[in-house]
Amino acid sequence: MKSRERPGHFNSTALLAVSGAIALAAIVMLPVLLTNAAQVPGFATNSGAPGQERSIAAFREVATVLQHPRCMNCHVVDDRPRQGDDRHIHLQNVRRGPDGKGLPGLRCSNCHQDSNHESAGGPPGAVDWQMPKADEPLAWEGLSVGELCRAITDPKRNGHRRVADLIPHMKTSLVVWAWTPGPERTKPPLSYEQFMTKVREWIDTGAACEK
Amino acid sequence: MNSDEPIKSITLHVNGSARTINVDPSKPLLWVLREDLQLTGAKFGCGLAQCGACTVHLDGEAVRSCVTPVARAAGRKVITIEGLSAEHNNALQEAWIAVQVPQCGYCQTGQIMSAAVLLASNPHPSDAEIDRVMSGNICRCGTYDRIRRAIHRAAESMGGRS
Repeated sequence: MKSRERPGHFNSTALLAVSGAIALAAIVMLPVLLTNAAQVPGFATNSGAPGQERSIAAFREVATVLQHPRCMNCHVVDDRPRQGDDRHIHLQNVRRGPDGKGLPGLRCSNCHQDSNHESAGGPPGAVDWQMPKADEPLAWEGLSVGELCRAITDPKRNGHRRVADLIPHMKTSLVVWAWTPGPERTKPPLSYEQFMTKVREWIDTGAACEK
Repeated sequence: MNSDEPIKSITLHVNGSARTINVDPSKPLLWVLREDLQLTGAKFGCGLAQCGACTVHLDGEAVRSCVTPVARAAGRKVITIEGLSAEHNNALQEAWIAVQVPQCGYCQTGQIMSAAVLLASNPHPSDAEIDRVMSGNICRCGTYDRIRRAIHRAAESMGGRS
């Protein structure tokens, strides 16, 4: 008796044909899939692929901003913020405090307003002026470019952020302030638009870090 | 701060009273207090938040009123040296007199206002803790040792109460 196929079921010949097609497609597409894997945010490869080299190159440019005094003056290894392009210890003996906003009686907001003081020597300002918190110090001083890259991609050292979550931080008024720092303060070497382009390029190509 | 901003009506709660003024919102709080409200206890020192002579309380924080736009204080609680106590008998003021802290006296209202915030958060500060917080207030007469002693004395008389 001839077997009868029920609707919605493949016979074995058809199943073999479809499986073969899928396998062939996977082989053909493998290089493409690997390239795309390296572009998933937070996915870093060690393949030495062109995407990784591009990612590393992009971060080198990002690092020129992160290592500029406008960023480094608050991303310090101790609890004392710095001031100026010479990165001297903050006057008034200011300290980080547990929440990164100073000690009672000497809070950041006691002097720093939501915008820069108009006079040279007056306090710079931006909304939510602060340092990194004491339990997440995000300390960048003394790090090589590769070490800095690994520090800001490590959730244990970057404030529990995924790599993709770095973008919103880069858009905060405090970070953007670095490009409107007020009188007698230099700006980072890239424009803000160039910086963000390189940050996105670095992340989109796998957020790779040099050794 | 932009001095070309239009005049606005702003209400501050100063030393327990609501005070409404028509003012350029970028005008420093210090000059509103001194010129518009005739509260001259807070002093102009550097005008750059460097010295602390202008220190007043804004919602309990020791802000430098010379760089604080009055718009920031709108609807908020401002305390000046004149409002620290009704009869000038705050523990800090009494300690300042007992220890004879001032020499010229110009910076002392700012010193006391910062010390009040310190004791509110730390009723028994050590010397190091006093130095750490009070280092934002400069005294050109060099009365720092007496300031420290007066803060300890006030802390003792307050019995740990903030």
